[in-house]
Amino acid sequence: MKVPEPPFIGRQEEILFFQREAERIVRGQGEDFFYLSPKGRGKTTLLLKVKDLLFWGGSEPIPVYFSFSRPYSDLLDFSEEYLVSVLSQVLVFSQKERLALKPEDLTSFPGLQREAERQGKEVTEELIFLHQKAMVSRDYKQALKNAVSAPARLGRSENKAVWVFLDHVQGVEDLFTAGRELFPYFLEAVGSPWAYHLFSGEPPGYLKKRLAGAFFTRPIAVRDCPPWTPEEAAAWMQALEERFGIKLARDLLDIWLDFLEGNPGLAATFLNDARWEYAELESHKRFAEAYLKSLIGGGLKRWFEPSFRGGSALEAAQGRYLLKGLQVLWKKGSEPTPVEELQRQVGLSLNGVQGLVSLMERAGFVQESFGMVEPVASRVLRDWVEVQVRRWILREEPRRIIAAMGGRLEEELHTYRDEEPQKEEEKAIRFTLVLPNERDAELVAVRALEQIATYSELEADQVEKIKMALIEACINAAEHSNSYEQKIRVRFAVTPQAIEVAVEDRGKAFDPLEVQAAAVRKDAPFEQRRGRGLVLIKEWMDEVRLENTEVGTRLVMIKKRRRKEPSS
Amino acid sequence: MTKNFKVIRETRGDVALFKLQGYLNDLGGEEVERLFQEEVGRGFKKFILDFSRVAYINSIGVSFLLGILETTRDGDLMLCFTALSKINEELFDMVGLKKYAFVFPTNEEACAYLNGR
Repeated sequence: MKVPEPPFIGRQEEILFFQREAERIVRGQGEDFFYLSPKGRGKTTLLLKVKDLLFWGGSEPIPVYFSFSRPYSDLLDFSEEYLVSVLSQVLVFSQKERLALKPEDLTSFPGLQREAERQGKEVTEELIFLHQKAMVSRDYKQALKNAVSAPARLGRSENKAVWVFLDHVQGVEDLFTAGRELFPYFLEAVGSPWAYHLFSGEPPGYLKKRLAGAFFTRPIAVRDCPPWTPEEAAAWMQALEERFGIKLARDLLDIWLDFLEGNPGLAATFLNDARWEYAELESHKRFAEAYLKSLIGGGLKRWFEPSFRGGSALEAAQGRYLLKGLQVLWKKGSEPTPVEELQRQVGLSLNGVQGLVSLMERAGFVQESFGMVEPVASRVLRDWVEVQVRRWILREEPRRIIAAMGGRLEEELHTYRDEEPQKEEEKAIRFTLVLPNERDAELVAVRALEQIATYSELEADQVEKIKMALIEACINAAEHSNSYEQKIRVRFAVTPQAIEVAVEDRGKAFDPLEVQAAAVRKDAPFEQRRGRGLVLIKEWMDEVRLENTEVGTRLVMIKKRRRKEPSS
Repeated sequence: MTKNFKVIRETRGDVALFKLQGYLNDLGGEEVERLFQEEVGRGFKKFILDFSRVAYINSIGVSFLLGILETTRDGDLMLCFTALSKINEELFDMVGLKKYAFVFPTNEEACAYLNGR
């Protein structure tokens, strides 16, 4: 089901930018540029809004919008669609005051021809003639040259600059068999004082590297489309609430939006799914359930799927390698991974893995630089990978995935709530550290604790005890949990009354009593002697509790604070 | 051998001195035990473990120390710990290491004690 068009909210800063740019174009000082952002940030809606404002707002520049949004059989096919689109928009603009009277069908050449004759637009007639001539001889080069240069020729004849918004430019590579051949023609068109081009697309990293860098041999500016402000995102979510007829818990809305990366496209896609099943999203639990359902078989699943060359490709080898590759990268967090290491872990040839990296980069999942691959910081993508891996590789049922992951998501959402501003007396300073399950990683946690202790003015002997307990807790988590994600999360919360350290893993739960019992058995295998750690932790800390969560184990340790004595 | 742990081996007359440095974990413990056994093999009977540069000891590291201590008790050997930080001394107390080993502030004091035996 198609996601309904979202309402237009905010974006005042960007609209002001476009208005200033339009004024520069009118003065002959405009420029061609790329306009980039991650998928779903609302560029298309914004460009259409700007086009609308320019159309009704003045006599110049003439706005033209074109989207690379369908597959073209060949470059002649593209030339025809592009030319029809440009000609019709310029013709409509030049008689916009009389739009109500417009009788002609401007989606075909005969209609355009008649309207051009009626308006006395000789250049338009000439462009149509040249196109038809190129079509007869199947001369795609001539047809392309004619179509791509049309805005500048029309601008000159009208004595008004044309501003062309070319949207979804990433489609150039996807929609053409010979897409790259197109760029030299646009390169020729760029720089004309009569036609300015805005190339809008995603993902930014890939386009900057591949299109802006490689195809445009002359420098062309790049502007990033900024994310929405939290206020804009919240206002828009409330507008969607009305449009979708789903009731949302107002006090949790900003947390959920943040969870969906503040991305309007992701949020609309999610809500569009949720509305069919729920009349109300009133809790984190319900949100997590709806979110997972969308990831498993709804809009959020389809959001990422095109990058796998169609959903069914997930079953194919390429899809599996992609998931495997992403999984390897996520395991390392935001740390870049050398291509060779990725190759070793995925089990492809060097060429194969380079193709894989290129595919992932093009999808906006990773960025590659000097042989190092880094995943983008996307929570939803990470969850999507986790769900797909579970579903397609482990063959898990959706309800089992929801049972396994729902708890974790709910917990994460609750953590967000905990991090919200609190009353002065209960204000906690919070830090979270994610450690790889690697040898001596506990020392990193200790170092972090030292820094937190300095900041929080804890007494030295208390800090030493917490450090010892923390070391034991980390090695316990690493040893016993057998965490599937090979990570340990350490959360610190410092309040005026106490310091709380929680060490979490997402692996199999373990029974602390069992572990302690093993520690005191003389015949216990050596590796089980680690259970002694829990006894020590209880000695070092004031309060200790071990919780088996739905996704693993959490050891919560509390040390009541004694303030550092002020130095005299 | 871990990057975060090092042992410097010295002798003071008939005393084998191990200066431990860094984080005493499972690998560190293994290393200390190995060196200890080597010195026992070479005929040493008196040992000092110097903890002045030991930042942390985890429970597995403690297990190795308990193992070494057990060997000294079984084999008529003598073992002293020196220069324990306050927290490590507390740890040794908690796990019973202090009950069976002698603890001194400095290596010199430990040497004087061992040489007087």
